[in-house]
Amino acid sequence: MMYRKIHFSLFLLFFAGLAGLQAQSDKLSGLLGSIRARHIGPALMSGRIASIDVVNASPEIIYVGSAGGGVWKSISGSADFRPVFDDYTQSIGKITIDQSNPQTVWVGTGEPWVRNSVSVGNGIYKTTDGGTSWKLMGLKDSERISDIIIHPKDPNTVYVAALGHLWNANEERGIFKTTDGGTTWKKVLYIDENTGGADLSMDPENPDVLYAAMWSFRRQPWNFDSGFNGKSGLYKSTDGGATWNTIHNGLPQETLGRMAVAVAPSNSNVVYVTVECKSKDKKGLYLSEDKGASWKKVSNDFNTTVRPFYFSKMVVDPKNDSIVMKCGLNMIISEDRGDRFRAIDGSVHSDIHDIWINPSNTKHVIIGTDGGVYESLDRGRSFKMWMNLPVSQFYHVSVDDDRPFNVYGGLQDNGSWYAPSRKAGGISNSDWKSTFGGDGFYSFRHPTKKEFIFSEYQGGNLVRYNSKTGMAKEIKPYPVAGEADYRFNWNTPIHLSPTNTDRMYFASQYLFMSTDMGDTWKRISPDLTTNNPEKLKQKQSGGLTIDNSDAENHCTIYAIAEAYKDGNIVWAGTDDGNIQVTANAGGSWSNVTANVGGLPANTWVSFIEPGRFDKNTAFATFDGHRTGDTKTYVYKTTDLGKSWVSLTTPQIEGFAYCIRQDLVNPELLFLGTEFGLYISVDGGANWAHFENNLPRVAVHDMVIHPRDPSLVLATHGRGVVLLDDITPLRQLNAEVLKAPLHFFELAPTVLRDPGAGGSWFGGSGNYVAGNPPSAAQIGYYMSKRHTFGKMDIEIWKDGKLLRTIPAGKSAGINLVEMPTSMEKPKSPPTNNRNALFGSLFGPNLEAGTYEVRINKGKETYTSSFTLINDPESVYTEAGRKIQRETTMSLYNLSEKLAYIYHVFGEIEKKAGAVSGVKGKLKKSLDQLAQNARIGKDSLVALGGDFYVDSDERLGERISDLYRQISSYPGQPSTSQSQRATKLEKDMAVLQTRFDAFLAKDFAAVNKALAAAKMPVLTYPTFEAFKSEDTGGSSKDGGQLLIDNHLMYNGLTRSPMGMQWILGWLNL
Amino acid sequence: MQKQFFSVFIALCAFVAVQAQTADDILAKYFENTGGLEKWNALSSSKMSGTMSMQGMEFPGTIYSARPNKQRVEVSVQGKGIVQAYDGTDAWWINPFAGGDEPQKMPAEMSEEMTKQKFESEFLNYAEKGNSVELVGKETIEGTETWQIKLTKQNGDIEDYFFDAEYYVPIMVRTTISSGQMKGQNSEMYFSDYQEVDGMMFPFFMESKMGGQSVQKITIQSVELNAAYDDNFFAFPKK
Repeated sequence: MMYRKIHFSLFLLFFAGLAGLQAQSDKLSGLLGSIRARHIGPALMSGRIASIDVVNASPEIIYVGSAGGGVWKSISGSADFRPVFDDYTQSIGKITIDQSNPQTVWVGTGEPWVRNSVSVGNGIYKTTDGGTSWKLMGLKDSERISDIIIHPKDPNTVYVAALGHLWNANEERGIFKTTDGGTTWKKVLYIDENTGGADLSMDPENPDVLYAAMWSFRRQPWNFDSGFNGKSGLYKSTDGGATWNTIHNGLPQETLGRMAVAVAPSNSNVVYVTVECKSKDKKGLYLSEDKGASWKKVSNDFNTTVRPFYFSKMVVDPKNDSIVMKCGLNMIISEDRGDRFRAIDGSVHSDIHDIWINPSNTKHVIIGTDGGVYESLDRGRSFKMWMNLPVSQFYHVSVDDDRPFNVYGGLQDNGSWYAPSRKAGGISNSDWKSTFGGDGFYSFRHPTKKEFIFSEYQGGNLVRYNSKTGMAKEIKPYPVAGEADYRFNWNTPIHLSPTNTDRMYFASQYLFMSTDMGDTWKRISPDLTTNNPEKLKQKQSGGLTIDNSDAENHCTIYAIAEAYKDGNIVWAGTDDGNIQVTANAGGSWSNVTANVGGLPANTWVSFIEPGRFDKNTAFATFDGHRTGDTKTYVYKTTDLGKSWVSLTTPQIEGFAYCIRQDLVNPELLFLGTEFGLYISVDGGANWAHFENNLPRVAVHDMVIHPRDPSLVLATHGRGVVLLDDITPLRQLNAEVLKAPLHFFELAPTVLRDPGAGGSWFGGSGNYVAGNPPSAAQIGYYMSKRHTFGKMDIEIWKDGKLLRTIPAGKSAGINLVEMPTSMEKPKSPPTNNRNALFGSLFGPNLEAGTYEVRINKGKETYTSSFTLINDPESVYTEAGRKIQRETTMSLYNLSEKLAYIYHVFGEIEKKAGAVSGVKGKLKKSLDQLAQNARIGKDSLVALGGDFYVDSDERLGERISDLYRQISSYPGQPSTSQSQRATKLEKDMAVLQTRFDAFLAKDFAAVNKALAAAKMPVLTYPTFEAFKSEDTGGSSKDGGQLLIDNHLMYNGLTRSPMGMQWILGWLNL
Repeated sequence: MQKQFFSVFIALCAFVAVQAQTADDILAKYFENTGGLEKWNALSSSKMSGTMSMQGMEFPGTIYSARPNKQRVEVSVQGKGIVQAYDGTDAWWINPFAGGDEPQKMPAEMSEEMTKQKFESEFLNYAEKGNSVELVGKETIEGTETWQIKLTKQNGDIEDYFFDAEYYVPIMVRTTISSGQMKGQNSEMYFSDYQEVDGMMFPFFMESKMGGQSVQKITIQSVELNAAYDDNFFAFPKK
């Protein structure tokens, strides 16, 4: 025992010593404490869906796998969804539920629909508790998993089709099999390091019979090749995967591409396959009616052949072998084995990737598209969209200077949009406004000519949208005589000058500048790329199927950044690895690529962030994943690119997309990678992964708001995400990290009018994002968690204690919301709902500075917070003053009335309880009790039901008027003011009556008691009454809560105290 | 020099982890540090009074609990009393804001968690109770090193406790919600402000969070141990 103790304290000592040496980095993730990301969606356009599965026996339980936003589960048939896979990679390939035990679900990561912007996976996961916890089961280098099939009789036997790497060769691909629930895997079908498993189907009658579509493919930044080295093929095994043979009898005898294969669940003779090949007359849908022994072509409908790399998915009706549904640019359905096809409801987003058909009711169909999930109950004739899956894939984000500021951005296949960063009732789908269609990328509002918003669609199509007229003008530059054709990146950079509000940039292989909002363009650079003819073959891209979508446009400028400190310095980064800079506004350019040490040649420049404090400084990220190099590259120069230092550390995971330097603290850096957000507080020497409500989602771009202390992230799978207040990060330094308790200096909080309305009874199923806290916050850093002894926070004003509230106890950054209101007024009981609402809320705190005392054990730490009135508010100072006075007058009336009610009650109780008296004294005591009761009962209307059986007396009148006036910040109406005066008069009359009762009835009885040598009756003083805790007080202002029906629901439906019991009894 | 220092540290770490810590060691230290087994075994009832805040509202309330699984919660909302209780047979409540002042049996979904609760710590003589414990490893909770102990109860429910690695008191417990709309979601309860009551240590502050977001805060003002309560106090009132 002794032995152990000694070693233990040594351990602690060593640990403490090391904490300093190793810097704060590893611990920092945890110490970011209560800084929490806020997601604002949206979900109205949702995002690309890769896979859907549903529990057949309980179709209200649904799992949706998104291309970049993780796995979402509903247990309510889509009324509510929640993400269940946030701790893991967010790119999903395939979800398969074990239908014999639906608590077991397999998730293969890595999307198999391999477009240019696709994310990456890292293996196969399994849950055995319905998604609460997950375990990585291997196949870590498979990058993307296209199919998972569980043996119907033995759930430990599972077949997996692993597509493998998209951008380079690798060996962990093909068809895998486990017979021990995923502990070990056997690669049962392997073609080569370039060919993966694209689709798998199992014979419904014999689980040893399997069909596998193998696909040879490769993507490069400048080319896509479906068919690649010619090894694609359709294979069949009849012995549980032990041996495989090609089954090409009747299929085109030429190089094959991506195929989808599906056996009819109701008839194992019927097998469908879609075939990609070069010959236009041979590709299309093939049918076998003899288990794949022979094939005949049945259709070449456009959607059976379009973009096989994106749409090779087909599902056969579980009950009818003639009904086949095929994903495509549009989804098509045949009810006669592929002879004739019809298209589904045209209101569905294009690009369909997965289909689920309800086996019990095969007219019930759920599909996943580039724009979310849709559900049909009439076999695809009409679909309704699920509007609560915020898996939108933003490429870029920007902000404006409105109050509250708006965010702007463009999305994969979902256009360009903007929305406010806060809104009364929350930010809902309908708050998002579209500025253009197609695939959206950069989008900015003009800083001074505010009706104009610049947006774009794929391949360099720039538009200027007028938000007043709703019209968009296309303004992209065209080559003039003698110039080469312009090459625009899929994701072409638009850049607004930070030094001149009228200057903007746009780029092909050349850099352009405009000072008239894009009507005229001036070319200010030569070709800044390598202009390598081998990489300029967009028109031939696609392999077997030409795919000339601009996605493989290469040797283009991808990043533009004008220096914040000098408008003549402009940086340009290209997708083929050049980083170039001009110091004379494009007069001359230096290619500084060779100075970036340790960077492989031609590594894509993903982002350039000029220094915020020094014109010669810049940060740059490079991204080689499209050529198979997934390392993180982050660099900094302080001499305009002549030399670079790497800021990459082993703490960072994922290829880098973007970097920002803080506007206030030069040492504070933010880095976005494929796996989330990293923060450095020491200039890039150490990085901490930010994990508070931010999943491992790709962060493609971010912006720090120039006025508000907000960091806004463009995630490629979870929409726009904000860190609303990064002030504490700005103030973190070595000294702060050592302090037992250090207060951050936060900006004054604007007292916001919460705004009435907002939410209404829309039912479930619509996404609504939360707002940032409207309360003031205090922030402090503690080097150690508070676990023992009391710790609370007192709020004082003018020497008076207003409230005591719980403190944040965590080591690291604590943010604690301050009250927005005083204590509620004392009030008599009521059974009237409106009066009850009134009596539950204290008046809002006034503008001013409030003292904060943190009592932590024996120590007291003091700080303050300041509330200011909204400078743009519509309420006058005079109006506010009257509101305040009237509110306080009613507040006092309520307390007086409560006191009188209480005293009447006490006297009634005590007079009735006097024992051992008879005759006259007894009679006068009874009379006193009765009078007290009558007096008490005349004050309030009890006996109601808080709803339609409620009456009102003076108590209710006061509380209801108090509710109305205290919840509106401006001048009360004349009627309200008159009503207040009337209630004051009523109260005066009551007071007189009450005083008389005390002076006459009560005094007389006490006199008689005294004469009889009995103890006299007493009642508490007003002060004593006021200090008694009768309970039920709100910390927040009243208006929002009432409007959201939250409080009423809280009161009536929550099992209050449950958590209390749970927590307590276990200890 | 630094390197040497580091490897010594690693060696020590490994030594401590392997040699010194088992789930039983941690639990023994926990009971020792919070009053000793004798006191824990003798504990017969408790009454806690404090303030509960949720959804921006604060309410005073009192919790009574007694062996083997009796509970009674009283919360005052604007002078109106809400009561929830369980006597081992019936879970019932009085909610004047929904259903009036008459006691009513609780809907099963609402009472499920309540009826599963035992008075005695699940860790006390855990094996006899049919519970099992497993030391999962180290985890940083609120910036603090903790030992994670997975408790599997006799009924199959799993709870993960995180014991402060320095003082051996739990600072967090993670449970999975087993019914209702939130089914399958994890809920975390954080403990702090440990204070002494009759020679035992109890947390005087608890905060429950879901998905990292605060749901409810409980501040205890006073605790009374080992008082006697009539059985009727917990039972569904007879008419």
